[in-house]
Amino acid sequence: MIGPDFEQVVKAHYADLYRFALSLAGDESSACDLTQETFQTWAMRGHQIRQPARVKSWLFTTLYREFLGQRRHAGKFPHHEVSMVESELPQITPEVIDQMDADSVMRALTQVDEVYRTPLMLFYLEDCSYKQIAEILRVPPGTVMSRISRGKEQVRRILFQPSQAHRDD
Amino acid sequence: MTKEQAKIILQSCRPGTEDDADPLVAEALDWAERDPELRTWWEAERAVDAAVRRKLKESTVPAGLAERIIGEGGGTRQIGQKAWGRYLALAAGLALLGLLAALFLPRGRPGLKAEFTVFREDMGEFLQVFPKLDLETEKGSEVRQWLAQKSWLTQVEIPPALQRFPSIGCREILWQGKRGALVCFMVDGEVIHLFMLPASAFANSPPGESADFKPAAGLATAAWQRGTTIYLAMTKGKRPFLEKYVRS
Repeated sequence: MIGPDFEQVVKAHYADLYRFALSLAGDESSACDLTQETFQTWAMRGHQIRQPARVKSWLFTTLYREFLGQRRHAGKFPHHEVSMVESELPQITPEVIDQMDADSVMRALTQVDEVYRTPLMLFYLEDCSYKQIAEILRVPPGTVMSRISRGKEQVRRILFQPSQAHRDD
Repeated sequence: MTKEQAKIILQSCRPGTEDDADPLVAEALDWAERDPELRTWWEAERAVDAAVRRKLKESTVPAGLAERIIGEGGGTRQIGQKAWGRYLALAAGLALLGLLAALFLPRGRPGLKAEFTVFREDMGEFLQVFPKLDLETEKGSEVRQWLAQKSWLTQVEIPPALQRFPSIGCREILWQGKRGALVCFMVDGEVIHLFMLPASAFANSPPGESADFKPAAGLATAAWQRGTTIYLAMTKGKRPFLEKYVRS
């Protein structure tokens, strides 16, 4: 049943859900489709969620499951291989980030290796604890901790290597 | 806990959430309180995180997406009916693919590893921060007693070479809804972590009793099956070191 609640839920969460979908799918069109399908699932089953605080987490979990269900072979999502040379990177500061274009920061995040990118995006977008991320991804919390740490390291390298950072289509 | 491990924990915790109740997080937070250098580093991390979040909120979302979603949402019943047709077609396609795969795909090891490979990598990441243990003990008898209480694990056979060394402790793990056990041993100054899960947890599992050695997440690992249990041993030591203690 569609009513004010559905519209409220969409308006409250569609933007962050889209950003998460974009980080998973890699292109705007697929991300829009993923987002839309997630809300369609919500329209059919959202009434099962009795606690409003759980809505966002439910949406992100559902989108992630939908993505896993649809995904093509990993080779069709090539990503830029970030150098693993342990050279000293310049210190990244909030001021540096603030001066960057928002879409460039988003692009940098989408170029992180998928295994690190997913928990990292949930950490930044979903505002949830690492245990909640572990529940969404169904991996141990320790794994989430390690991957967020490595994901942050990768995104720093990407932000400081903009001339090499591109995504193959 | 090392300082590097404290940093890993601090990078992923969200103060003011349920993370605060986690003993590992509490220990890392306590360290940050006592260590000015770590505290300064963490404050800088949080400031960068806040800046990244601000930027993400500003990143472009396609115009009209909300309206499109809301508009489609009015046709839920139709969407449901279309979905059934789509699912039936998908199921038929998958059944056909499964039949073709069974007929034409080569059998044997190359096709087996997808799920277990993921598990191996996930556990490698999991061990980057030494896990909190449910039971801390050096006594093998207490470890065996603890394992015996895990009704979902049967016929557990820890390699005899490992049993000679003191344990550090053990804990349950949960991976993709599957329950397993982890026992940690201190072996000649190195820790060897031994994961055990029911073989039924994996569609594809390490075949036979011969240990399959592969690196994962920077660790040397060996996997094998004995009876109804899958074993995965992991260590920061090198493969020859691991071989000495897992080969029967």
